[in-house]
Amino acid sequence: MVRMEDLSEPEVIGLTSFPTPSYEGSPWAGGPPLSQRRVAIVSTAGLQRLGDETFTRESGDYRVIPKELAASDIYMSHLSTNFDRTGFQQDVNIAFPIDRLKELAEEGVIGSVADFHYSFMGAIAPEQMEPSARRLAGLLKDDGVDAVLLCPV
Amino acid sequence: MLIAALALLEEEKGPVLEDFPEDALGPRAGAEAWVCRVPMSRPAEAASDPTGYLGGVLSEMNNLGVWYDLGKEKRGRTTVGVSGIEVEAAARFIVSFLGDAPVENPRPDLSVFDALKLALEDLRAYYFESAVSQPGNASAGQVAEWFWDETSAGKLFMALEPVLAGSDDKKLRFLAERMLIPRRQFHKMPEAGYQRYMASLGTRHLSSLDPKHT
Repeated sequence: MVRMEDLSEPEVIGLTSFPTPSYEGSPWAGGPPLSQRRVAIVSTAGLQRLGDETFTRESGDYRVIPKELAASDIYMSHLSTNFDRTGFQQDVNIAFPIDRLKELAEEGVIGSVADFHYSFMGAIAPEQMEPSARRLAGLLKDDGVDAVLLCPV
Repeated sequence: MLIAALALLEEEKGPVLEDFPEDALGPRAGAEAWVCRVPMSRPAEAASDPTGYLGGVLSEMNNLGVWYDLGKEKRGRTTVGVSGIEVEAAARFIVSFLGDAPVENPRPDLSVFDALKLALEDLRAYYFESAVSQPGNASAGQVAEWFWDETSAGKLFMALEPVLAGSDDKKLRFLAERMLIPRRQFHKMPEAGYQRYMASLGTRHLSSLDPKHT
């Protein structure tokens, strides 16, 4: 967990200058036990397959990362220069913990791993992602997903 | 950590906000500071003109190449290449912005902003992957300090800031302002660039920042 007291002052000022959205209510949805859930990853790390369209300042959409895609085919085109990429460079699971999810499925901790996972690029206003996020919810339902691991970067 | 996060799904009521008590380990106490054993160019000399920057960066890439290749082999992957531009060509493209006119966009299907941004990330990734492949278990912070303090590539990024900030292309100005140099490295920028950054954040806290800039 990154804490404000561990950041430089320009970083703190930059982060705290962002507006904080507010929401009406706080919906809560139940579901089956974790051991029966089908889990997908939704990242904001700007992940993509090599050859996919890279993320830009206008990219409110997402890229699809199939479950069996080799780590060597997963790239990052996030626009921000501020976050550390060395972890992702050494192990894709730092930003996209797909191997850990597969292990948890084998151990019976979760029910299964979704066939498809998704990445947005977080350096963009959330409102620009909303239409794509709503479409993505339908795709997740079609894949039988009932739990999403949000991996913000 | 994943199990702890997923277990929150079984809470009966929400929202749930839990702090995970373990932090990532930093450098071991008493451990020697990591030092890159690969000779770097001398940024002060490289800074004299665009040709100097290019020579410095290409020389460094040549010296780092063996570690980049070994790291790629060990991990079975590299994150360099998202720009679709060979990394040496990426370096030439970046350096050309310091000259009278940038070279032709090597990715004509992308805007100059997008091509340059991706080229910058590829060049930086080449250095970072080469550094973490060397013995010594360098931390992310140590690699970053090395890149920004000791390499011609880091100095090249710094030298680009005033050039892009003065561009007629508003996207390139935005790149200079927000996407070229990490906030953690702001204090190493020349005074004018630092002030541009802070003004862009709309801050009123300049007086509380690094004494160098107040």
